Amino acid sequence: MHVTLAGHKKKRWFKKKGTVSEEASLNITSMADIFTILLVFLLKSYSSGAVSVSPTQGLLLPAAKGGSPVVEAIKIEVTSTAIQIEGKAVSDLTAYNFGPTDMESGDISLSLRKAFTEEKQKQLKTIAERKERQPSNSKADNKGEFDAKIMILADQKTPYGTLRTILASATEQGFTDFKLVVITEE
Amino acid sequence: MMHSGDSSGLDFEINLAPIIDCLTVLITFTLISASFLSVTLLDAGVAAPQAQTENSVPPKVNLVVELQPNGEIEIRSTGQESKTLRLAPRDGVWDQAGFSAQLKAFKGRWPDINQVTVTAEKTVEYLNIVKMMESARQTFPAVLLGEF
Repeated sequence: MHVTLAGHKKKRWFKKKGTVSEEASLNITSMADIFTILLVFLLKSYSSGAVSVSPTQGLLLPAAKGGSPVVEAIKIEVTSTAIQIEGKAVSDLTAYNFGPTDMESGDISLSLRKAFTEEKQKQLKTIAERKERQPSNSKADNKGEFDAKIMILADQKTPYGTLRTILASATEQGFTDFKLVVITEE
Repeated sequence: MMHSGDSSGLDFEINLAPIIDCLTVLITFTLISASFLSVTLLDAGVAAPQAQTENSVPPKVNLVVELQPNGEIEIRSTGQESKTLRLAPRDGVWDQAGFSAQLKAFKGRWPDINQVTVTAEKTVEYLNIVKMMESARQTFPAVLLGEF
């Protein structure tokens, strides 16, 4: 890039010394600094939450004020067409409602009962394995106990009947600590 | 390091262009994958016999709030105070202000009671349940979902 300097005298001075062509490059050091700070900030905010909750597309969570921070728990998602436990579809819904063949007396869903039983078995197996490996530390942390927590991500249009079936089916298997996931309202 | 008699110094610059490229890609990736949705949890126990522990002492008064699809709120108390109150809808929806006032009045009469059970008719939408729970939480720390 040729740099032309304003001012007649300076031009003449250049001419005397010979034609000088300066290679001007964009100073990207400051840009690298900005990018590094931005990246550090993004990575920090990305990892600040111990548990990340990302609802599936199209799921509209209700908004509410207050609430507690997100904790680790079994994740249940309720959409208009299905119920997913830990990302795996376990029950089919028709316009947020269970099919008549899936229901049992006492507001229990057969498919959910099966899914919660599997989750319970899985958890109990993990606890037993952990106790076998570290028998002395088993009482030191609460990981040696059955975790009754369930995190519910339900669409705001979900009828209470469906929610009640989920709660009843989970309670039957010992999951009694429910956490309703809501969007923080300012 | 300069040697005596050597006219050329080690005046060099690190080529920042590939570093900038890497940073740009990383920032784009983190921005895409980052979730800016701020979510919190509303604690909800269940008012079911399975959820009761062996040593739990039943409260003097049980307070149950039931939402009706027509916008009516039924507030039932059982135990030492047995009463049923119906709040008519305001502008076609559940009267949240009246509901909060009734809960505060109840808390004034029974300061030891710390829990309320929220229930609803099957067709009432989850959004309304959450709104009622939010109102109830201002007076009672423990909000249960039930009854089943």
